[in-house]
Amino acid sequence: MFRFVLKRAASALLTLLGVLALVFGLLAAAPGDPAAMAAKAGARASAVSPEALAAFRNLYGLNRPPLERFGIWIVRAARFDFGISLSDGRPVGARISGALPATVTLNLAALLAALALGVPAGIAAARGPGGRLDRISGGLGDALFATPSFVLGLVLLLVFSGWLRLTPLFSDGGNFRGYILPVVTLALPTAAFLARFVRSCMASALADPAAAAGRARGEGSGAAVRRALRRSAAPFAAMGAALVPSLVAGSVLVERVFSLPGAGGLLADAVFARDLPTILALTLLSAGCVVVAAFLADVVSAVLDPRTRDAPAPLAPAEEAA
Amino acid sequence: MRRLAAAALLLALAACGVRGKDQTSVIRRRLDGEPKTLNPILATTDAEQVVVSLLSRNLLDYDENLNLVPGLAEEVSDSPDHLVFTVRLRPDARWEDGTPVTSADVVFTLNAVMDPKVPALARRSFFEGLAKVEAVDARTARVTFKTPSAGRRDAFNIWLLSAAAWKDGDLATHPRNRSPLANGPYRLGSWEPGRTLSLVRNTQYSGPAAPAEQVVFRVVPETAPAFAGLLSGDLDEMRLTFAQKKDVDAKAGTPGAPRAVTFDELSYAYFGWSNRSPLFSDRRVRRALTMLIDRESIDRNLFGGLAKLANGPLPPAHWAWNASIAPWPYDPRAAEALLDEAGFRKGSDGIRHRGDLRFAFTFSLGMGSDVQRQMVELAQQSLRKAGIDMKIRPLEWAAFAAKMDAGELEAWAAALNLDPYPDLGVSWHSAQVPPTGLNNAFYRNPEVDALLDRLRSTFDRGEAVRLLGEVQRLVHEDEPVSFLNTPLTKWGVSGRIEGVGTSPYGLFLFWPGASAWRPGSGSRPIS
Amino acid sequence: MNAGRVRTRRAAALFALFPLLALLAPVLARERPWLETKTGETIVRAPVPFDPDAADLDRRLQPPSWKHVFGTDELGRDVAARTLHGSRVSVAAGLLASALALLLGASLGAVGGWAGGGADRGVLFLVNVVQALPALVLVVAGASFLPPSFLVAAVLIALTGWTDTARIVRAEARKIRDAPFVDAARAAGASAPRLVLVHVLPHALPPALALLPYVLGAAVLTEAALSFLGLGAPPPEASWGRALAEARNLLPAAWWCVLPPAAALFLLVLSARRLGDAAALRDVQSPSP
Repeated sequence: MFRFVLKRAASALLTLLGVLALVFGLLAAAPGDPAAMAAKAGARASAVSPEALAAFRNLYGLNRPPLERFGIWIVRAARFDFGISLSDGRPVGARISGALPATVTLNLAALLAALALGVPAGIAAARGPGGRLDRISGGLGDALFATPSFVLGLVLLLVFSGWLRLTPLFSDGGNFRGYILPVVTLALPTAAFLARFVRSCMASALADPAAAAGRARGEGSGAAVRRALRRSAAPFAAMGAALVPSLVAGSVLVERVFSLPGAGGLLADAVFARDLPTILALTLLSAGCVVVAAFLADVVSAVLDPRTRDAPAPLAPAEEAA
Repeated sequence: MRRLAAAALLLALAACGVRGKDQTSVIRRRLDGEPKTLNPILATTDAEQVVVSLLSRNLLDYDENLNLVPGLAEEVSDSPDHLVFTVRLRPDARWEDGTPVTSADVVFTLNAVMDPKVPALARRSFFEGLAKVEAVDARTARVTFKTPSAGRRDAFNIWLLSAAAWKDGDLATHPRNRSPLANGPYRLGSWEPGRTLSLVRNTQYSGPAAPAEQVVFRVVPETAPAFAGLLSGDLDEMRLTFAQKKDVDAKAGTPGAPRAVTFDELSYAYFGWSNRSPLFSDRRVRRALTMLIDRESIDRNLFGGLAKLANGPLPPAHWAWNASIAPWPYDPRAAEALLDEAGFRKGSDGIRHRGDLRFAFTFSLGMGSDVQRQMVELAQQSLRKAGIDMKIRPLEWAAFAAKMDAGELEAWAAALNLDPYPDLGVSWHSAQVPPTGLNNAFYRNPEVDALLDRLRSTFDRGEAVRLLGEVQRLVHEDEPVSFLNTPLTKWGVSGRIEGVGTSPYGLFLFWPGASAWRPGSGSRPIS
Repeated sequence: MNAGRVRTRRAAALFALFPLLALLAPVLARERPWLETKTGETIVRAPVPFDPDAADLDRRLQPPSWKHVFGTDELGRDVAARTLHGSRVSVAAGLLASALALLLGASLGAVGGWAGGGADRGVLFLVNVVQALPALVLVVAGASFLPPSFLVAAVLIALTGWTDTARIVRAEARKIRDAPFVDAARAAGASAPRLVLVHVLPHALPPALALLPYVLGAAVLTEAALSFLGLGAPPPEASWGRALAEARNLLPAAWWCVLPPAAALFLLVLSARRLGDAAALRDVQSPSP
């Protein structure tokens, strides 16, 4: 068990390093100079002397070779010092922790709502494939999924906040009603996606010989669904893990439409300003979530469906034993 | 039953929306982006400057006609050789903590601007050639330059740092940058990053008391929600698109409805052509390109007839604008004749050729502005009809700006904002090609160079106007880039706000600007 | 089983309509009539008698009418013509991207899940890295390096979109690896590639195929985001995604600029899902062991 954890930790660290190196390499090589961008922000036609630009680069250590800059950032990050943002001179850690409340509220609520809506809908649809419920939920789901989030969000905002005045246009400090529409906007397409996924997994598990055997033994449909759920545990867990990365920085457009200050917007600003310390720290955060989620997914699927464990599979699969 | 429950829930939600507090002494404004800093010398973006303009007075302010008028300084006088400037501060100028604004603050601020460790890039260029700054007495500072330069007085349109507040630590990352010490009509109340930034009346301010008790800035990046906010009364002002202005005009007259405020600004839109490219090195070709673009139709349809045609490197709102130059007309037939004359003749493929040179090029477009993209797509159609193959290459903004500044682009679209005393040399002097300056069209005309050199030491306004007029005529003749138009700026302001003035420098960056805005008692709908 | 096949055929036919429309767009929507007299008089006009790129500012933002069935956009171009032509970019980029993503994800997932050990760890590492990589970074870097074209867009979308498929196929492969019927096949001397191809993929593909319409939809929407950043097909070429992104500032007034591309996208996703469902169901109804 200790070796297992150790191996996991090593591979997690490796993943994190790989992601960070890739991000750094891509953006350090891309055209766009943070110093010139800072100077351009004023957008007036006054000249900015090359000396001034050089001084700015020197101030933020941008004149060092890229590899050295990356190394310095990694070493400091290990001590939870994520550097100074190139665009506002604040510590990156403070900037991110300022953006987290909105992000966490928005995305966790949206994920929970999506699960609460999508999974039951998927199970219900799987029990009667091709039935009315299945078709309605499928069509609605497609419509929701095929609408870009910024269009869906904007329409919801203009209707409910602008026209009907039921929700506020802008969510100010601690006002939960401001979160209703953004959460709905984020949750609906995800719920549609989840419902289809659950339905497909369930349908294939329900059509399985084990389910047929259960029916032959006179089991009710509830037991069949429970068994099918267990059998689909591995793909469910994998899908859950796959939804995690979008939690940290995947809602840029929704944040924009609803004027919410979250990590998605922070990342977009940072990428456009080539603000590498902020980008790297946000990447570390989202990559960290992914690594943890992947680990949990493996554990969960191993517990729920023992056949997926690393150890040799038991002779009799769980269903047959039950 | 269920429907009833839903209706009850909705009613309950709506009831929560009534705000208890008296809103009549609050002004609610929109920011399209989050200010990164409120440090007066580091503030560069529009969002930062409009906030700081309520917190700080300049040493010299611009009035609505862009004349320099006393601000924190009652007088800035220069020596006959224009090298030594003496700044005399108002005796009653105070910081929000009650301490006086002194010459030590002037010395500290100018030294900070020139400190290579401070990223005050945009401000530093005004003080190029500064020799020293010294305090003569508590109210008087002396600023000495190495070389004289016309337009130097405009450098004193600068906000001050408090030496006491900002003295320790690194200025770029100073904690005071997010809680600045004010000397203007308002001071910072609270700041919730990404959402709201609230200013309150500064009771220590020596001038007339601010009309509103509170100014709340809301960060609203997207224009459609902001417009909904303007209509509902959640916001009191925002920049409008032409379509939104039409909407506002249509609703005008209804009580509580917003009104549109329009004014000319110091900016113009242009299509840049690299004069080094064999395609664009002939001025007949560049004139033809301008004449192929139907700017009148663009003005009529995309700007609602509210744009002026640009005729050269200064916009009509500028004090030195040369009104006698007629803009190049829209005349496709004459343009095609010019192209023929320059040797570009239509080939069998419908595209013009001069020898082996095919008239085909890549036009770079920085993504962000809808109107700019629309103009480029229209130009592509018009040029196509005249036998010119223009491919559009959209670029993400950072990459676009980097390539444009480096002079790497062959053709591009941009808009230029000018300072009240603009240094035209930086864009049009042949010595200012990249990487030194911003002459990224690689324009070269010795006559223009000579005039621009003379302008640097021309201190007489009348003479400067004459020389600048001549520069505009020469640049217009050469048409190094296609000068397009200067759209009228359109602003939506809530009907209850009074005292809104305008200037060519916008609604906010002149005195008194938004400090004069008074919230009226207009009824505010429940939100 | 027969019903399943019919359903599959019907779904495939509906789905095939889109590439067909994309191919026929230049004929269906064009200013030049189908048939004209020698003097240039129209005998039979095209169903949508407008060029998609023909701008005319004097008829901009017109609501739907008999002349312009879907109205005109901000530059006075016919929305119907642009939506038809937009299928060329959107369907092509979407299909290419999702096919690439499915191929990449299925093969890597199957190899990892089946082989286990080092190969599996390698695949998992890749999946984790790509999933943790903020897509925006990849896209912005790509947008500033590469010339904009729908091919580049498709590859970028595929590079960010294959991981879900890989995870699912991998999980399924591991589940099936030790199933009795696979053991039996192995005992009968089947080679590993054959086992993966014949026994693992048919079981792993249904859930992955169920994802396909979503990968496709996401690809088309990503193409919108790319156009927004300056990658994707350069203007004036029409694409549904860009039409949506550009028209959002015209809401709520010019709703007719948003509705046609949104509806087209919906129908594409719907038909892709039908196809995926039909394929998955048929597979389920004829289990291989």
